[in-house]
Amino acid sequence: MIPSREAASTVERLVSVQNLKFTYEGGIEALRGVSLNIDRGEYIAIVGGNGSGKTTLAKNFNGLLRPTSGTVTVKGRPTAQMGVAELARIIGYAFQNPDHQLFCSTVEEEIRFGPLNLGYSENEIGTKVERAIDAMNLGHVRMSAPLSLRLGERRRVSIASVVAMDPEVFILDEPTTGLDAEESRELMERLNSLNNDGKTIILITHDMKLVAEHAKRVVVMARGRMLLDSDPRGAFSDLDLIRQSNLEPPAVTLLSHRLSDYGIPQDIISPEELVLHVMRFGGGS
Amino acid sequence: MNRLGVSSYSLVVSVAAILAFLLLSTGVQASVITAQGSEAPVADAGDDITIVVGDTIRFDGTGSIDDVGITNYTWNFTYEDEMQLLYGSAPEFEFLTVGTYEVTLRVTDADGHNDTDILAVVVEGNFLMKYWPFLLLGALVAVVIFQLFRSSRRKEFVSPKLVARYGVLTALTAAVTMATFVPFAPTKGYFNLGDSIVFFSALTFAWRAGGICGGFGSAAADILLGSGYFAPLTLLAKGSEGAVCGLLGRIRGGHRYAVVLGIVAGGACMVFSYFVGELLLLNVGWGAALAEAAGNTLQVAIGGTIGALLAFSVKKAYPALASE
Amino acid sequence: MVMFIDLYTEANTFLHRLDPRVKIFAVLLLSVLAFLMTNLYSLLLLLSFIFLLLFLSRAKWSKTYFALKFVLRLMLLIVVLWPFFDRTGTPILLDFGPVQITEPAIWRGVTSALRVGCLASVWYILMFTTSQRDLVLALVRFGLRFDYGLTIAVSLRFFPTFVSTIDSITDAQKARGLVFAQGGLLERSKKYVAVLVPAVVSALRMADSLSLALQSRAYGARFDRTYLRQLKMQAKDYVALVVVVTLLVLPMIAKYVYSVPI
Repeated sequence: MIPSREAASTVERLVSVQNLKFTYEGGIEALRGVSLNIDRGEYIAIVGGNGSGKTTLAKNFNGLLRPTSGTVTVKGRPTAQMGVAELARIIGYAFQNPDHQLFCSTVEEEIRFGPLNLGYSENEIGTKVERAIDAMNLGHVRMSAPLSLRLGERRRVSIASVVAMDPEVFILDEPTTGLDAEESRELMERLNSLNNDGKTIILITHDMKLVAEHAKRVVVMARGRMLLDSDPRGAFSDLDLIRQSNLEPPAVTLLSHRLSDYGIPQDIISPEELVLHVMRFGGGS
Repeated sequence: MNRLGVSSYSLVVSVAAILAFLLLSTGVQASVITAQGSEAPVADAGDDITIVVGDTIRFDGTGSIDDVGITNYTWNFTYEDEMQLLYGSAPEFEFLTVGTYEVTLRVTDADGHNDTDILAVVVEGNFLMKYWPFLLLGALVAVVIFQLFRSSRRKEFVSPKLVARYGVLTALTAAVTMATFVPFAPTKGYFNLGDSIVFFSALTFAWRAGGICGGFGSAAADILLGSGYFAPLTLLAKGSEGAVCGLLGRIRGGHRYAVVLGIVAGGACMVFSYFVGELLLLNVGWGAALAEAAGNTLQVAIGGTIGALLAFSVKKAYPALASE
Repeated sequence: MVMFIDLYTEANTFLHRLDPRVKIFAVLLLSVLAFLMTNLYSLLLLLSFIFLLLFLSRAKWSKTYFALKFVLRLMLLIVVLWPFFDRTGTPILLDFGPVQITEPAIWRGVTSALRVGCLASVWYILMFTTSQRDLVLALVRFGLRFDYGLTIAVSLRFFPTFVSTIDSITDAQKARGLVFAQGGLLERSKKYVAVLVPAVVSALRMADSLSLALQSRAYGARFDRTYLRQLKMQAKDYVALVVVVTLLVLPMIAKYVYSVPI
């Protein structure tokens, strides 16, 4: 079930994007004016098809890319004035391909790499590494070579190495690609628990089922623009919009749309809800 | 007394005296001029000349002028560590040694005045002497090409594992070169870390991988970066770097000292090949060649360090490789 | 810094349409010409001819500059350092202790630099007007064995992939706080290990799957395989061939038979 979104009263604004435009060298306009705000503790999914600009947007958050025009401010400071390493303290980024990060001979060494770069003391590093290993359930492989692990474990190592840096915001690029259902579920559980601890989670994905099950807020991107910014229910009920951005709504939502003639509401985003409604329809209580 | 009031006797005596005076003074003048001598001569040794070794040169001092006449032409230069002296306005000399000779002509006239002129004689090597580096490299390339192009008697292709491996490592060498290049004059115009992959391939997969991937990968990077004219030399330089490191760096199962030896020996091959090639083939001059040698040595030192670290780390991180 | 992975640019100029074998041959002959000519003005003429060809092939200035900026540095190095090591000739312009700069030496340095420039630009034209696929095809038609040609094709195919992989890895490690532009030489080298290890492993993994793919597609089944695309020499190719050979032969006759000082 999706936890209800907490009413945000005076929550800290972590990332603020104003009319961000970004063009790659070579002339490709990836972002054509995007504005949004991200507060502490949020759980956002940025969705869109290939080329929608979602990865470009995320890379603007942690300074890997700088705005061509417009501004991105992190905790009040414009990213254009901050280095990537500096931003890495606040915003952690776990890349889509964990193999693009792993190079150490043991999992523990790998997880140490981030905090070591950030200049923490040996004690602090020790604590952070332990917490990260716990958070991602990697205790049983801590002395193994990261590159010899299964994809699911490798992905957890790469996320753990970001967790160890203790950022306030986590950006995860397609974290469940290539994972089986069990691994996927386990990973998302860990992310939820991070969110419950107060960390801000930003998922970049095109897996709508994942979004429906976990995200509290959805930003839909298409062709460099933001089409929609709302809660998942609101996002998925607009089928046309979803299709416009080259995405497919969760199967459950599609099904409920087909059954709308029978009185099933169109904003169903989980199988459990559908079952409830169908049972009611069928004459149940 | 006559009309002038001067007696005829005095007239005759005066005229005689004047004549005598005139005669005498001319005579003195003449003897004074003769005693000073003529003007100094102007020496002319002729235009600077370039000949091929083995030719006979005919010096031409006939352009020298003097009002009285030149009595002595002396040509003087150092040839094969000996001072040579030739006489006459157009002597001949056979040059059997390549070099640039500074020839001084001294002309003296009848009065002992003299003048000098300098002539530069450049003796160049003949075709073989000038072009032997090209012929050597050409022969080497011809052998390589012959090996590459002849349809093998084996009638068997290289195994797919090796095709994949060599293809990928070659691409990686080129990619790393491209990804790490920094414009920097004394290393063919760009400094890069491609050598690390050359050394890695050599240390991990033996001399063939090192030679092929190092040579062709780096040559490909040259071509892609617009320095395609360097490609044949790079093929030799980086190919030998990889092959030699692959041979020496894996002795005793890749013992630490073997690795160092391999890198140093391979690096030396690379620096030496580029130095000689640039000097003799591209004719960049001693200055640029030495600067390049220095730059290349630095590049190979850094690349070698990283390459060794890579070989070590990859083996630990990706143990599936250990089966190689 | 803008970087071009592939110097080739699709266009419909006569140079683009020539058979790649003729182009390779032409570039080799022109290179030989550049080596044999020793006169400054002849080399200048050759360079202008090459630039004319560049212009005719509609080369984009940004690509040309990128490709030639390295050789420009080398040329500068040659010109500046040459007179310090070559002290012959008159007039002497500067005589200061061990340093003796003479005017002819300066001109010899310039000549050498020009020669290097000619070589660089003529090879650049080849890359600019010929696609990689055509180059491999030409080599195979020259007689290169298929498996060697395939290895080359594999490299060409994976090269852009690896460039973008390295890019991606660099980004990922930067996001973990790695700062490249800092530290001594040894420290920086170690930092590159963080980028190169994942790159190498990624590459070797791809080699593994490629090897399987090749086997499953009957690689090696027959030694005398046929090819889908064929290269055919046309009239214009033969004409170009004749022109290029003349371009080499005439000056050579002039130089070696008639002693014209080029």
